[in-house]
Formats: sequence, structure tokens, C-alpha cells
Amino acid sequence: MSTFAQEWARPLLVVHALSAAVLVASATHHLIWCRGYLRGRFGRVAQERLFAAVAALAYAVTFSLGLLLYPTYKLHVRAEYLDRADVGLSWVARLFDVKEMWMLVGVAIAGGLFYLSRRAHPRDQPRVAPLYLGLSVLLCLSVWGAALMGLTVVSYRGVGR
Amino acid sequence: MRRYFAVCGGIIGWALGVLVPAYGRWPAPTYDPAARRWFVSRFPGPLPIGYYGLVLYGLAGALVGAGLARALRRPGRRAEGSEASIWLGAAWALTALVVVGAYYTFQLWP
Repeated sequence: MSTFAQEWARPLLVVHALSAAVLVASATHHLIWCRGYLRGRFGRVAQERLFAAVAALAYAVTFSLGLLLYPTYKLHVRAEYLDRADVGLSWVARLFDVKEMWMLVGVAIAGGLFYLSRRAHPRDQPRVAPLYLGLSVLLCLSVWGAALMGLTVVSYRGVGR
Repeated sequence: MRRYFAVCGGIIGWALGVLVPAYGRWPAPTYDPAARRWFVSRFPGPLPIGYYGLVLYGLAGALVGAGLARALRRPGRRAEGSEASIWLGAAWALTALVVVGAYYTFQLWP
């Protein structure tokens, strides 16, 4: 039984993983570059804004590819393998559910951060800094957590047959 | 600062949009990967996917939240916002994200 986009699942998963790596790297760099904003230090604004844009783009690509891959995962990995009683890996499936919800919540984080970086940057409006830095911290934590959970799941089974 | 409050409202709206419909089991667009068909369901079950519906609810919530925040902060003095309202906006937005993430984590943790 084939699912939507199943014939493309393997290459899409590779691009999904590469995009996730870019996302983790850019979110981490963004947090490092903007860590001084609460104290009014705006030394590397251009680079920080670039990382906000890269993170938002990588987030959009990673999330969209995840949506395309989800039916294949749900049928050929979760239902046909992880959830089977004789396999005994239902905890891995639930870990995947946690990851997907973190990524769903993170859409607002990446989007909000990108919008603020373009339209209401803390250098121009310093009162934005607490929200800006808070979003950067949450983005970094959520994508690191999601990436580690995703790697754990894929270490058991990626896209099935 | 209208944009700032619009972002706060959008984030809070998104957080509520991805939480309340799942908690309240609202009807949502659902995709069955085995049958390759869409339908509307309150209880998707183990195989059909309700995640896409949550994305749509989140988008709707974000649009409503951002719109409300912009409407409440009309151009003029109120649009700048007091120090307290700016801190409250950040606190509500960040807390909403953390609460929704924590809810799903504890709900789904293996």
C-alpha cells in the first residue's frame, strides 16, 4: 500500500535532515549573536539578523518537508512497525509525537523572531529585547530537542521499506 | 510598538490555536494515509492524521490574535505602550509557548 509522496520519501528525508541541521546551527548562532541585547550590546546586528532569516527559512523547509513525509511515517513506520506489540517500540512513536508538537509550537517562535528582526529590531526599539531574546532561547531549545528526538526515532526506522 | 504587540498577540493566538482544539476535541480536517482521503473528525484515532488540522487552527489563531492586538493598540499614544504592558506582552507570549510545549510533552511523554 503506497502513501502520498512515498516514492520520494527517502530523498525528502535526506533534505529534511540537512535542513534541520541548518536550522539547529542557525538557531544556535542566532542566540549567541544576540545574547548581549538585554545589556544594550548590539555589536553584530547584521550577522544576527541574517541568522534569524536563515533559521526562519530552514524552519519553513524542515516543517514543510515533515508535513509531506508524515503520511509515509504514520503508515509504514509507526503503524506497521513501532506500534506493533511484538516490536515493543511504542515509546519511540510517542517520542516522535512530542517532537512534532514542539515543532508545531516552534512555528510561531521562528515566525515571530523573523518578523521582529525585520520590523521591530531591539537595536531600534530596545524595549523589544526581552521578547526577542526569549524567543531566541526557546527556538534554540526546541530545535535542539526536536533534532535529538528525531535522530533517536530515525535510529530505529526512517521511512520503512 | 504596534508591531511588537501584534507579534505578541499572534504568538498567543497560535499557542491557543494548537492547544484548545486538541484539548476540546474540536472537529478538524483529518487525513487518512491508508485510504488517501480527507475527512472531518473529532477523534482521529491511531492512524488518521489530525496534525494538519491543528496547523490550520494555529494559523487562524495567530491571525485573530495579531489582528486583535493591532486593533487594541491604535495609532497614537496607546500604540507605544507602557513599560508594564510591554513586559506583560513578552511574558504572556513566552509563557503561552512554554505552557503549550509542556502540556504536549507531559501528555505524550513515553
